Amino acid sequence: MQAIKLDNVTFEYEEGIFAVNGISLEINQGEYIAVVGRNGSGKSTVAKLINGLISPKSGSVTVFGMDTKGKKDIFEIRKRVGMVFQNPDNQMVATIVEDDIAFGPENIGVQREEIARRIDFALKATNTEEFRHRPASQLSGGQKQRVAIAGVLAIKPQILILDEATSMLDPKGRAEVNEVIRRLNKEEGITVITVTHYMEEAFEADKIIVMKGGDVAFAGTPEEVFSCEKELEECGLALPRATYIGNRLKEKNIIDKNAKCFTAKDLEVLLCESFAKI
Amino acid sequence: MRIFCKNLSFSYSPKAKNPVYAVENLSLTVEEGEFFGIIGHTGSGKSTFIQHLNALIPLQEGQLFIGDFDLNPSKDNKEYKKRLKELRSKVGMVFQYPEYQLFAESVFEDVAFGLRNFFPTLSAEEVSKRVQYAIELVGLNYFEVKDKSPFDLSGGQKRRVAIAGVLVTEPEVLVLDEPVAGLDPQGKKELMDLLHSLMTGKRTIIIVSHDMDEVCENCSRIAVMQRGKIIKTGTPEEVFNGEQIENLSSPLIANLKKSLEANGVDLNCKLTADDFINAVSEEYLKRTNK
Amino acid sequence: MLKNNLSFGQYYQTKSFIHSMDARIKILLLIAYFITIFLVKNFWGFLACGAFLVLSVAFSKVPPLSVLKSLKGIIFLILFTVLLNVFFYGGEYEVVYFKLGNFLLVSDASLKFAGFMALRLSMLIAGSSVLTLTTTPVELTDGIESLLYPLKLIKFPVHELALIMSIALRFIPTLAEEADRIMCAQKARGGDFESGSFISRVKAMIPILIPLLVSSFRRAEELGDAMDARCYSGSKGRTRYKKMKLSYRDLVGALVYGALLTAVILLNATFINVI
Repeated sequence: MQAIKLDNVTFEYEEGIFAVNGISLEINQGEYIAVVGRNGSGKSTVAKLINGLISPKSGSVTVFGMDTKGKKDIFEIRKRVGMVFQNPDNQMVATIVEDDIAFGPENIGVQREEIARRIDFALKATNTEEFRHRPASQLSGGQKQRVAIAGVLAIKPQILILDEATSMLDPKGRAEVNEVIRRLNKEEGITVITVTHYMEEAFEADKIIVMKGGDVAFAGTPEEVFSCEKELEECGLALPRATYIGNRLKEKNIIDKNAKCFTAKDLEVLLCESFAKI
Repeated sequence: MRIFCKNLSFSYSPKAKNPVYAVENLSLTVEEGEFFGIIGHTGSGKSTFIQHLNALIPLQEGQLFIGDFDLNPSKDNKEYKKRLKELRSKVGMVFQYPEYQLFAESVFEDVAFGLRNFFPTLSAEEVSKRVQYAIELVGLNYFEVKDKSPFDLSGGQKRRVAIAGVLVTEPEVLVLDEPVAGLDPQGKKELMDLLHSLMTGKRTIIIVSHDMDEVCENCSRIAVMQRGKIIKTGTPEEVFNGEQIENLSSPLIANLKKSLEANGVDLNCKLTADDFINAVSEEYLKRTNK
Repeated sequence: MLKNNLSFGQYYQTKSFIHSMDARIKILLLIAYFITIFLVKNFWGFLACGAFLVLSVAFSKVPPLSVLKSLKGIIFLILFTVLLNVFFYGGEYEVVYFKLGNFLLVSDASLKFAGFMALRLSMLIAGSSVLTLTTTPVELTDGIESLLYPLKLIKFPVHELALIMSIALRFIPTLAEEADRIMCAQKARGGDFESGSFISRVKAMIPILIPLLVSSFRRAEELGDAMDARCYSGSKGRTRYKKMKLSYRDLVGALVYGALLTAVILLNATFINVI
């Protein structure tokens, strides 16, 4: 089922400077999408367009058939599209974790008993139960960001957008957050759109959308995208380290050209096999 | 300037009965001209330690010398107060997300801030000469940016301006806390290249990072910090070729080398991508030709 | 570090009798306590108020040190008040210790009065910090919102006011941390915030205040987006997760306060009033 459709959308923050320039794309329900690109490539603008935080200058954005330009539907759209932002400190309204998670459901008029149930669910899904009564300021970056995800989950969205949600975290925090996102996609069936410039995070995606200059440069499965090394470089992106080394070794015919070599594990196995064959 | 540090300990609550040490019994020497990396998780004490290097945090216990400057703030050390400014001008400190410290109405004024603080007697010409030098050093066009408001620049440019504001006093030691945090791959590469280009003369650069691959790729020597202590120091190879360090993910290439070794393939190479690729192909050729 | 000195307004997490009291009652009791402190006319009355304070700290399980810390922040205000009262007290007096012109006069009465003023202020602040240490910002603002509810009838934006307060409280530690960081960075660039005249020190704060302001705007913008994304649209149709409920604790609190008020009135009547 189609969840999101962008049709020839443009947007400008300043007159004449297009942040998004005639972009069209479709995302189906349950998909895991990674949107990658340099800073300023328009990827965060796309995220905000989907949630209706900004309205397109021309073209249309529809979410489950509802146009984000329509004032009456915007509330309904935001209920279905949750969004987590880059800086964990700037998206928490309340001091105490539990109170913050309650903020969303309170806004949409959920009854008290149901809010309690949703908080339980959201804490569990993000593995943050132990922080329930703690002030968020005492948590680490990764923990705060998981709480932020919990705050969005309590609204029970069908789509979760992460706008560079891991870029301020250390590797440990990043791994924790990615683990949670993956589980939400696989187990809860939530459509995930992660906006990032960490190519390593795109491995897991069903589809990678590479952006450049406010438009889609190219898109495809991770296999397809990672084989376009030159094109990625032109977009200011770099291959994950293991993929890069793998490609070099493929050129030298040390590992099989057609083998899938993305992750460190892939590379390790392929290399050992190659040497064993001699 | 050589950095010599012996048995340094620091606690934020030194008077407590059982003080908790943010840095404990730390000894480290960094030679002139090194590109040195400090790695460790958030809360490992690395930020506390580097703030000692220009006396933002006064020395509590132990010894710390930067060149011939003794950072012991006790009254016996008469030089300390007198030369503190000089020290800070020689040890440049670039904090995490340094673009958040920009404040002046123009890029020129912001970069000149440190210069005017440290050398209040400099002539206007000398100031503008040095500011131009610093701005060009970080790869920006002086005439294009000097009158702009720093807040109108792009994220990457802002960071460069902030670094220029530290470089303007021509520090001999440059300390950077997570210098590439938040930048995209291209921006990361450009900034790292910039740092390498700054390694002229006797300048020492110290970067703090939690990205193992990044430090292996860039640093000549590294130190690993955990719970306020340095648990290992040496070249990346010395640090990572041995046993797996607890609570620390190994860099990709160290892992690859180890699993190849377990399969009877011993490689002698640095932990950089290019070196590894070369070593692998040489070894592979050698074996296939046999 | 700045962050560590900001104990005022910071919630201390634990479970205690006082923590579990209804925020509305705590706010009302604090106001009543304020008034009582100004009713006190002699030393014994202060002792009673002090006992009330110690009792509430004891039952809150908050470390007494954090209550004292809150006084550190306003030590200058207290000193200022003391000096003002020492020199400019206008009441009757018996012994004169020091005199300069017609207005500047230090007497036994002015010293006593200044001393009591300092005591009052300290007890006020200590009392307020017991409230903020034992009440989460959300409870606090919910309490205020609920107490101010009648003002809604005259279209006063009670909900918005409460929300703004709670966000302000929420951002205190974040901004303090940020201020610390910026200060360090400017110090490293030779910024000097500790020496020089008053004017030059105020000037020296500019490189800290501007980045702090800029970042506050950025944070506000991002927070606004985050709140929009979480379906915030004002108080209309909003439900509430935390329910405020009176319990026996609140009754106990009210009764203990009642005892204090009676004691103060009695003490005022029994002993010679100093002020």
